[in-house]
Amino acid sequence: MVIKIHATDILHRYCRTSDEVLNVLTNAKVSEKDLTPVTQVLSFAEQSDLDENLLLLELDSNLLDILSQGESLVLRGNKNDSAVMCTKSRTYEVKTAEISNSLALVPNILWNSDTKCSSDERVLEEKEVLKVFYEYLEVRPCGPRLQKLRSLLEKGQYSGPEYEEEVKESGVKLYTLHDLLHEIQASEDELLVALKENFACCIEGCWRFLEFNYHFRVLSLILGLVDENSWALNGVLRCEVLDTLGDVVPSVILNHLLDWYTDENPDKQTSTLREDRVCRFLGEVLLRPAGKFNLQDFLSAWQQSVPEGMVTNMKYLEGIAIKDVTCQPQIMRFFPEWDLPEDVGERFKVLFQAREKWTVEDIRPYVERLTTGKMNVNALLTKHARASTLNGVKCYSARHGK
Amino acid sequence: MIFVKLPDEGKESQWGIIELQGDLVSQGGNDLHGQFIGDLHYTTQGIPTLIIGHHILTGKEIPLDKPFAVLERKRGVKPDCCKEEESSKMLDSQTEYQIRAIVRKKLLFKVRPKPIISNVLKSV
Repeated sequence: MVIKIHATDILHRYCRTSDEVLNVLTNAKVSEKDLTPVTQVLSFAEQSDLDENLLLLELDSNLLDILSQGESLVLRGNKNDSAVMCTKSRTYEVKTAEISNSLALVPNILWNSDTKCSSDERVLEEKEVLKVFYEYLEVRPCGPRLQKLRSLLEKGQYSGPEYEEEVKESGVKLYTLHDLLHEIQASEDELLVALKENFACCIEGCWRFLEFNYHFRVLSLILGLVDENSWALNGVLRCEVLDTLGDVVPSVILNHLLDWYTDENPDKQTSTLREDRVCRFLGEVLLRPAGKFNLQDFLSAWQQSVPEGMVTNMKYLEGIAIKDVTCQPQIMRFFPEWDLPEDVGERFKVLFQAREKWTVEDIRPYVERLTTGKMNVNALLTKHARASTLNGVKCYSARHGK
Repeated sequence: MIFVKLPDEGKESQWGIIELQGDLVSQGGNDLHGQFIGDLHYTTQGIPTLIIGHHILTGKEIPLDKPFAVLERKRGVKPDCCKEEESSKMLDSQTEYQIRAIVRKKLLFKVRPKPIISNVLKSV
């Protein structure tokens, strides 16, 4: 449907009079008595930069709240990425929605309730249509897109003070939080969580991964010290660790590991080693170079590698390794979540290639990061996998599998 | 990285959207800038009535479930301190969008416009 504007009306800009308005009303057989006394005379705005530079962005209640609190929104990503918009804590996908209707934007429009003044004469108010839109930007909450984080930080890993000169000479780019926010499509809060999960350490303002063997060496030094001093697992003296190892390991690294691997006790003097994290890392130390391990051999080697008093448990390896019970002898496979594709469909494909059937518990650590507010693990599985029951246990397999 | 923020000064004003089916074009394809469109009235019952050329449209005032932010792209916003050779890069990656207004209501005209037939008999 095209509404044509009467040719005589558009010859030039003119000041409309009450008589003209009334005349049109008479022609249209509308009784002026039935109208409120204000007429808004609409015209297109003069040509300006705004024609190109105005956009409509649809807001949900969360975004609206955030804006009214004075927080700003940030569009992130470079030209190759699809746009995302971030608040301080959330990430939204931004898409253009095209519409067949036209949306005429009118600043300072009067709504019905604004026109109920008591006036004997018709009041004319000139209003401009600033721009007519046929599309707007639509936002949908999505998870942070963190895949790039590993590839950015993998190059400038920290392997100890003696290698720093080498890193500098190699010209590898190191990233501050600010730099990372330019590259990574995630909110600041989400990025900080991801840095923590990946054991990144802020060294002289730049976020760095610790080189795996270096990480292992420092942890071994700490565990060695615990053993040497015959400290109980819950009697680690943090300041002694810092004092004793301070000559060999920079304090920023020691503190980083102590923060991760120990919890401070209520007495504020001593700390407790975290069984889950120590076991998990030492399990990874065994699995990473081998890739596969005979299950029984692995379990005994793992238990032997952890400090006395700690008990290994398969649940500590969630998201880094899976048990393969289909072959004889059974094996343990290094299968880290961080290597899986970010895209939901791709990820499920890889998961079902790695293993035909998964229980909810087994697959959870590998899909949890894809969940959003509305889409939890069960909803994801329902959508992307086929449920079946194997020996009374509910399992999920590929939708279009055998 | 692109910023979107509310303007520093002034409260958002009452901006609105008039939603029409189809499109507005001028007869003869003239440029529309600055051109008169039509008269917008409200009946005493609160029904918005728009008269454009030889058509009369009746609509409805409705609140938007999801309000619109009107963003204005501010090109060339850059810190004064930035160096000459860096400035071109800054322009690329740092466009600022300012929110001019939040639109919370619209006038929706979704029924077919009725033609206005002038009373020809009278003039004969």
